[in-house]
Amino acid sequence: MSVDLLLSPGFIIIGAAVLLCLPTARWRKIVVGVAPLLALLRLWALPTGSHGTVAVATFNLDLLHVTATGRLFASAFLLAVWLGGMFAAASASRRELISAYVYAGSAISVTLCGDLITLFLFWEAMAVTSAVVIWSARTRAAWSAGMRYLLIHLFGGVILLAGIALWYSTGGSLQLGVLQRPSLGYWLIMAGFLVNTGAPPLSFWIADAYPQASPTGMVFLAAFTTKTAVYVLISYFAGADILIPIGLYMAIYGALYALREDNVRRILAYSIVNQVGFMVAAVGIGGEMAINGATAHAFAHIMYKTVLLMGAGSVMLSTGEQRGSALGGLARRMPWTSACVLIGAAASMGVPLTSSFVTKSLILEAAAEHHLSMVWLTLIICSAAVVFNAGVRFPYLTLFQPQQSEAVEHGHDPGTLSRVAMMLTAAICLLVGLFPGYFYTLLPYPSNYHPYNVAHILEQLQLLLPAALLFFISLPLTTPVGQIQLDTDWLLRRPLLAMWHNGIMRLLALGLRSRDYAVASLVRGYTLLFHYHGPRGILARSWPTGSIALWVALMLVSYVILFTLRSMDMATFIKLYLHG
Amino acid sequence: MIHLPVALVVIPLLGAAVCVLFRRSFIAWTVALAAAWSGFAISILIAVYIMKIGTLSYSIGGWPPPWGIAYHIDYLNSFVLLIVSGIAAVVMPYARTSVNYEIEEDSQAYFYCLLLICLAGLLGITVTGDAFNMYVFLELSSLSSYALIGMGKRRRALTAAYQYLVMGTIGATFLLIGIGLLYNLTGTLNIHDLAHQLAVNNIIGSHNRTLLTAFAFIIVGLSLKLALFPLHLWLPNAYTYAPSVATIFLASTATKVAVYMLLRFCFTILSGGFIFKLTLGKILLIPALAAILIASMVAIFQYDIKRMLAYSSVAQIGYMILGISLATPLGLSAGILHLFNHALMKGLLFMVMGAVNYRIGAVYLNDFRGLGRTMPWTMAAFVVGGMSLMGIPLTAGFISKWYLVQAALEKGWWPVAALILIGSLLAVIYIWRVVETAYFNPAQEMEAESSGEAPLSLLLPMWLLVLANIYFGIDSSIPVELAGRAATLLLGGAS
Amino acid sequence: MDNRVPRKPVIFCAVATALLVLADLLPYHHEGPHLPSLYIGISFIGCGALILLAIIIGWLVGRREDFYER
Repeated sequence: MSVDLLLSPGFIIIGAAVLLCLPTARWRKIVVGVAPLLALLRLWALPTGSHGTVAVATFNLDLLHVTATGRLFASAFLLAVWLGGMFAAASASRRELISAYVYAGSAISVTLCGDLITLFLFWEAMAVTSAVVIWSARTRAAWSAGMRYLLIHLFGGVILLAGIALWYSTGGSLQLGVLQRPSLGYWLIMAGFLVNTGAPPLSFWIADAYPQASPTGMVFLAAFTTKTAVYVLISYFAGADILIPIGLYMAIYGALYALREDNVRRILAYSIVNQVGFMVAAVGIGGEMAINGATAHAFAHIMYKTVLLMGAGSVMLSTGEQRGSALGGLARRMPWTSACVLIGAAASMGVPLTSSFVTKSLILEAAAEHHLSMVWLTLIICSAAVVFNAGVRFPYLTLFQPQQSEAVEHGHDPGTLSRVAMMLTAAICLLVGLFPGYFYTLLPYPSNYHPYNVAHILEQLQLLLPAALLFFISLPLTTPVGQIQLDTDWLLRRPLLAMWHNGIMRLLALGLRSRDYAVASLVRGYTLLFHYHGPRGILARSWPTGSIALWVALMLVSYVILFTLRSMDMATFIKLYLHG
Repeated sequence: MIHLPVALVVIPLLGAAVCVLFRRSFIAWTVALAAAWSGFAISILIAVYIMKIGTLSYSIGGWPPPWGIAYHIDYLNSFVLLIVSGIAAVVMPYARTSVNYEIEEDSQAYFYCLLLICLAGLLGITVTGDAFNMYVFLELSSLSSYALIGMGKRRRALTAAYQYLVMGTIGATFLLIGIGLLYNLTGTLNIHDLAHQLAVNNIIGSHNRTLLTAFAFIIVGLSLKLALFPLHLWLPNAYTYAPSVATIFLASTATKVAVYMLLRFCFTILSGGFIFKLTLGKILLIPALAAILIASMVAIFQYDIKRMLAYSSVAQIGYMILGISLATPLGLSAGILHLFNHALMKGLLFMVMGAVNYRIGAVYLNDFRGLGRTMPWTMAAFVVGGMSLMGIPLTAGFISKWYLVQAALEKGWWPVAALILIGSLLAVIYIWRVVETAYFNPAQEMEAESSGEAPLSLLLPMWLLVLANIYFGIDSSIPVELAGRAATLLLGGAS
Repeated sequence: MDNRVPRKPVIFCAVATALLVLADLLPYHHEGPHLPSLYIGISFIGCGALILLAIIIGWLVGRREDFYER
C-alpha cells in the first residue's frame, strides 16, 4: 500500500519533475509527453472511493481519496499539464518546467486528498511553486509581481491554517466532506479558499501576477490555482449561500475590468475571474445540477483558457508584444494559431457545438431551477459579456484587427510540438461540445440534461450576436491606450508597501548580522566535528586492542546495571546488592 | 528433503576438505562454486517448504530434542539462510578474478577452503536449534574469518586480524558464559526447550539475577560480534584490510548472522521478547542511534573508501538494531528486512571496491577521479548501490527505511524518525563525495593507460546485485512477506 | 491606433441579429412563458450597461500605465 501511495497521480507528476532535471532537451520532451499520460492512466485505474492513509503523529494524512469530482478535476489538470508541457517544452526554461510540474502535481494531489491537513500542505506547495513559475520569466516586473502574488497566497495560507486549527479544536472533522455548523473556523477556512479563487477584495492578484509570467508559464498558471479553489469549495462548502453574491461579484468584476484592458493576457486573466465567478456562484447554489455545472464548467474552462493562452503565448513568443494596441493583422501569418484560438474563443462564449455551451448551461439551468431569478439574470448578462473579453475582444485585438505595429511582422506559428499541443487542446474543447452525453457521465451526479434543442441554441445565439454587434460598434469607446484601472491592490501597493519597505530594511540588517554569526558557528562546528570524527579523531582512529577490551568490560558492567535497574525499581536494586 | 538442513552444513565442510586435498586454485574454486550454489539451491528448497508447510525440524543422529542436537528452521532462519547462501552464490563467481589478483597462487586453495568453512559456520549458526551448537558454529566461522582477513595484501591486515581475533574471542567467550549461565538455570541447551523451561518455571517474571547477568553477557558478546557501537572498533580495520572477496562476503553475511542470533536469544528464548519490550529495547536504542549518527559522520571524513563503507556498515547495523529495539511487529520486520537489503547494497558496494581495486590497485578517494568515464558500468553500479544506501525510492534501501520510519512514527517516537532521516542525509553526503570525484573530477594522467572497464567476471555478479537492488526496491513483496512473518513469529512467542 | 468602427463585422452581426429576431417570430416551441426576443433585449441592455459602467470606472480609477513604477 505504501508503494501504491507513492504512485498516486500527483506524486507521479512530482516525480516526473525530478526527471525533468535531466540536462538533455530530448529526454525532457519525452518525459513531458509521457509522464502525465501515465498519471492519467493511473488515475482512471483507481476506483472511486479508494483510500490511502499515512499516519503522522496523531493525524491520519489521507493522501489519496478518489472522488468523482476530484477525479474530473485531476483529469483536467493532468490534461493541462500534459498539453501545457508539450507547448512549453521547446521554449520554456528548465526551472519553469520543473516548478510547473511540482505545482501541477501539488494541485492534483489537492484534488485527490482526503483531509484538510494534507490539503493544506499541498496548498502551500502550490503557492510557492507557482510563484517560482512566475519568477521564471526573469524580468524585474515578474519578480515583484511574483513577490506580491506569493505574499497574498501565503496570507491566504495563514488564514486557512488558522481556520483548520480552530475548526479542529472546536471538534470539527478534518475529513473530506461538506462542513456544517458555521463557526469562526468555518469562515476562516472558507476565506482561505476564497483567496485562491480571486474573490473580493483580493480579486486583483490574477490579473496582476499571471500576465507577468513567461508566455508559456501563464498557460500553466491559469489552469491550477483558481480551479483547485473551486474544487475545494465544492468539496467543503457546497450550498453555502454566501458564495452566490461572491460569485456574482467576481463574474461582474471580471467582465468590467476586462472591458477596457489593453494587455491581451490581462484580458484573459480578468476573464478567468469572470468564469470562476460562475463556478463559485454555482457552488453557492448547491444541488446536484449546480455542482455538476461547476465541475463541468471548470473542466471546460481549463481547456479553452489553455488554448487561448497558448495562442497568446505563441503571439508573444514570436512578436514579443502583448498589448492589444500593438498587435493585429496576424491571422494570415499564424493560420494554425488563429484557427485554434477561434475554436477556443467560441468555446469560451458557449457557441453551440463547443464545450462551454454544454457546461455553462448547466449552471444557468440550476439557477433557474432554484428560482433565483436575479442570479440567473446576472449570470446571463455576464455570459453575454464574455464577448467583451475572451470571446471576441481577445481574438479580434490579437489576431484579426488591422495591423497596428511593426512588431507583428515577425509573427509566425510555433514549432510542431507546440502546434500539436494547441490543436489537441482545441480538439478537446470541440469534443466536449459535440458529445455532451458522454461527458455528462463523468460528472459527480447523474444528469439527464439535454443541451441541444432549437430553443436553447437560438437563445444562446440571440445572446451572443447582439453583444458582438455592440462590441464592434462601441470599439472606439473601449480602447484606452496606456491606461490601467486601479484596484484594491492600490491599498497594498502604496501605503502598506511603504511600511513593508521599512520593515524589510530592518529585517535585512538583522539577517546580515545573524548570517555572520551562523557562518562563524558553522566553521567552529565543522572544526569540532573534524576533531572527533576526522580520520585522526578519537571516534575514527584505530584503538589499541587492550583499551577496546576495557570498553567491553565497561559495557558489560553498564548493561548488567541497566538491565537490573530497568527490571526493578531503584530501591529494590540497592537492597538486593547491598544486603545480598 | 529430510536431510536437507544438515546437508547445508555438510556440503561446504566437505568442500573445504576437498579444496585442501587438491591444492589447485582452479579446482578449489570450482568446488567452492558448486558448494555455494548447491547451498543456495537447498536454501530455496527449504524456504519453499517453510512457506508451504511450516517449520522444519531435524534431529541429528535420530536423537530427539532436548537430548540430541536438533536443527530447527522457521521463517526467520530460512530468510537468513537465503541471505547468506544467496550472497555466497553471487560472490563465488566474482571470487575467481579478484582472488587471482589479490592473493598469491599458493594460498588461493586455502582461501577458498577458509571461505567454505566460514560459510559452513554461518549456515550452521542459522539452522541449528541448539544454543551450544550455535556457539561452536560461531567459533568455526569466526576462526576462519580471522584467517581470511589476515590474508589481505597489506601488512596491516595482520594487525587487523589479530585485533578482530582478540575481540571476537572475547565476544564468543561472553556468549559462552551467557549460555553456560542459562544452562545452569534450566539444565537444557535446546533453544525451544530453554524458552519452555524459563516460562514454565516462572524464571522470567521473577527478576532472576542469573538470567539478567546471562543476558548481559550474551548481549555484550553479540554486540561485539555484530559490531554495535561502541564495540565496533574491530570492524573498520578488518573490512578495510581484508581481501575484497572476504570483505564482500563478511560484510553482507557475518554481521547479519550475529543479528539473527540476537533475535533468537532475545525473542525466542525470552518468549516473544517479553523482557525485551520492557527493558532491553530502550537500552539498545541508544547505541543504535549513536551508531547511525556517529559512524555516518566518521564515514564522511574517510579518504579510504573501503573504510568509509565499513563505517557506513556500522551505521546500517545501527538501523537494524534500531528496528529490533522498537520491538513492535512493524519495527521488527523493518529490522529484519534491513538485514536483507543491507546485504544486497553493501555486497554490491564492496564488489565495486573490489573491481576498482582490481583496475587501479587502491580505493582512496583520489583514485576515483575520472572513473565515471573509464569504468562506466562499475561506477553506475556504485551509484545504484549508493542510492540504495541513502534510501532513494525505487531502490531496496528505501523500502526498509520507509518501514523503519513508519515503525518509529507508529510508536510516536518523532525524534527517532528524524534521526533516521538525518542518517540518510549523512549517507547522501558521503556517497556524493565519491560520485562527485568519479564523475566531475578529471582523470589522473598517469593511470590513463592502465585503467579500463572491469572484466566481465566481476561485472556480471555486480550487476546481478544492481538488478536485485532495483527489483526489490520496486517489487518488495517477497522479502516484506518473509520478514513480516518472521516478526510475528518472534513476537508471538516460541512456537 | 485607429479608432474607427470596423465595417464588415458590424454588418455581419447586424444582419445575423435581425435574422434571429425574425426566427423568434416563427412558431417554434419555447419552454414556459417566453417573450419574443427576450434574450436579445437582455443582451443589449445588459451589455450596454456594462460598457457604460466600464467607462465610468475608467474615468474614476483609470491611471497612467506607469502609475506604480513612478
